[in-house]
Amino acid sequence: MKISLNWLEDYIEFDLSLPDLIEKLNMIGLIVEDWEEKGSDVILDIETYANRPDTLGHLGVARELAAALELSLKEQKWPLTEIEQKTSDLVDIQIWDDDLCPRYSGMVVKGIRVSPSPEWLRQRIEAVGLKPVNNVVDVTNYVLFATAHPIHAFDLVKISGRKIIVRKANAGEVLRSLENSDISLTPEMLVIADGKKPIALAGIIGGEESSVKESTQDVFIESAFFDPVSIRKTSKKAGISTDASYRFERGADISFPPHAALMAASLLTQLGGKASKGITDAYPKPRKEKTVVLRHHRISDLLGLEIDEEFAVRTLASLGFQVEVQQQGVWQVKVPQFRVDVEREADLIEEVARFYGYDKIPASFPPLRVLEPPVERKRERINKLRQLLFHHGFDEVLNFSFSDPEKEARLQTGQKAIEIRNPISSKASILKTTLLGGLIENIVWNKNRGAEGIHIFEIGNVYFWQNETNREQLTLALATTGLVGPVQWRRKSEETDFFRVKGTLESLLTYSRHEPFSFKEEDHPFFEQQFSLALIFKEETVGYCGLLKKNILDSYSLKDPVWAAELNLALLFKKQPYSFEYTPVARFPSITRDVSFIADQSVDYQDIKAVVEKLNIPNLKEFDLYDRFSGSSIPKGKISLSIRFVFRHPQRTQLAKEVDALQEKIVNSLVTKFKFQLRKGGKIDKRIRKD
Amino acid sequence: MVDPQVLKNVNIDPEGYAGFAFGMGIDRTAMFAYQIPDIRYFYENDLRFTRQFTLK
Repeated sequence: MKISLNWLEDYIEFDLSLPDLIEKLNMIGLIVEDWEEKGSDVILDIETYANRPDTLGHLGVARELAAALELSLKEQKWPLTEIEQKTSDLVDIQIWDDDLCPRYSGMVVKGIRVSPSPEWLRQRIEAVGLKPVNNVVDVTNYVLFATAHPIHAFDLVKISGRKIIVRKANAGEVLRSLENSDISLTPEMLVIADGKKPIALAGIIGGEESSVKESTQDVFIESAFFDPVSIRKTSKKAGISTDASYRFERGADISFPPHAALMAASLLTQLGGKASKGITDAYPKPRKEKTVVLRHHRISDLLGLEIDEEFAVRTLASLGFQVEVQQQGVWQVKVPQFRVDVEREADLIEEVARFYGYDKIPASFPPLRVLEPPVERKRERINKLRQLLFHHGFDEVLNFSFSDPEKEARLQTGQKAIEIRNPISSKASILKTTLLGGLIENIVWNKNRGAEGIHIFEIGNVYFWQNETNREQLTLALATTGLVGPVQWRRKSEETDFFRVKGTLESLLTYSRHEPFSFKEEDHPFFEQQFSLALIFKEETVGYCGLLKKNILDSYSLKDPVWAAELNLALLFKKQPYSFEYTPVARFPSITRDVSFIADQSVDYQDIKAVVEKLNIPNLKEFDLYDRFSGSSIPKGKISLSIRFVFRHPQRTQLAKEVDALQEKIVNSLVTKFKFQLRKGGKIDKRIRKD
Repeated sequence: MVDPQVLKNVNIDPEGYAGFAFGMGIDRTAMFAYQIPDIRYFYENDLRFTRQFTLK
């Protein structure tokens, strides 16, 4: 639907910029698909809804806009120059089928000189994309595009017997249309006939013979309401669609025909004609306005927000609804007859919501949280860990639970072993207290058969006495020695190391969501003092990792270092994993600072970490030790540590000078606490990382 | 909102119940589950995002 802003201003005075106007119309569901400037005018192309035929005219759009802007519509006056003759004496209107034509009104305008329309009218007609024809045709089109109510003008002298009969066509009747094509009429088609023959296809197109021509002096203006379904069917069958049929088939305003006739008559008298007295209005079965009950509480029931009574009533009233209070919070709402779409309470609530603003309805997440799946059965959990270890390049081994007391003694687990009452051999007379004994034997076996890299794990029980009872405890052990991966020309094989064991443990705990965990240096009977860590989760030691002691390796005649770990799965599985929560991804760049210190060799990174964490700097997103070395450039007994700090502001780009202050705070506390010496001379790395 | 007539057609009293219709795609479900505020995050392939949901 083309809407001219100049034309709109005939109905409503508004002061909005074009973008604001378009935004406003879009928000109330009148989607502006396109617009163009046309001289001093702007033409909007508005997409309307099939069930809102009232918006197929300027008045309807103005009414919506007025409601949205809380303005009122301008009143329009339609003065007439009348003659003494009554309309009913000039034309005899008979409705023979009041189902298909419930209402038919008309007026006669005499003494018109058919000629080109005045400039203002031509502009209106051109604005909606039509070509001006003559003053009479232009007036009918003007009324249609102003009010969305189609009307038609007949040449009065061509109406045989001055009779207008609204009836179904007879078989065999033919109508030559305005477009000069012959329409074969069928008995279900509604026609406007005079005393002799059809002169128009009702609501769709007029006949050629009765049309207004230059010779015309007196016109009969038809303004009616036709059944939408009948119009649709006839239009389809005849293959003719017009601006009139387009509106009638969507449903016209049954209360409007007399007013549309009056508008046309008034305009024609302003152009020199004289109107007959009184509007003839055939309306055999007047239709009552629909009444819908609206309850205030239903508004919040359906919309999920509180809208005050005053707003609801005001909105409906400005859209043409008549609202009467029935009781507190309950209204009787009369639906104007141009609103063919409104039938129920929910439809009224939709109107309230539309003008309240869909954009003002808050969006909220339903209180739905990820449901933690029930803790999986032990077997499934073990399988998952097993898969992860395969990915990390470990092979699974399976050893007997029986163990040799002599070998067991070398490992000194500190647990009291359970003896077997009738052992098959003295070398298998107790139950093992650690899985590592088996793993070491597997390493020896495979080394002796030429394997260069051995990375194995076992999941099984260990057994011991505790408080006078025998216990079995599910345990995971892993051991790694030698080369990682195959020997290949393209890449140098690496020796396995401590970080492989520690990294695998980290991976296992992260995967099973036992976070946060930490490592602590702690002596252990299997491990060399310098490489012995306890794994802590929720303040309990759940495992160990480290480098197997030299005396243990010697006792198995192993020369290469073996890194190993043992994890108490029984204990770990008893602890609730943390719930997964998504962490929003940073939208702003971070700033990275690398800082190097000279430190005592005895300082632990874990302690440094604790000190930095205690500072609780919210914008410090991550930090890690990325370099440590000692050498000729570093004093004896000292070590150089380089730590990378990443700062990020959650809502904006972090500024370098802010980072300077934060960095100084960190450096000062480390220097104070550990007597660090800041390694100066190097440039401060002020790179900004885009992540 | 579901048209009250639709509820009536399936024997649900629209006075007692309101219907809310929405597309429940797998991404929308994940948004609820993990409180992710923007559906576009799923299609940006930002590794910092996707990595949160993978095996480490």
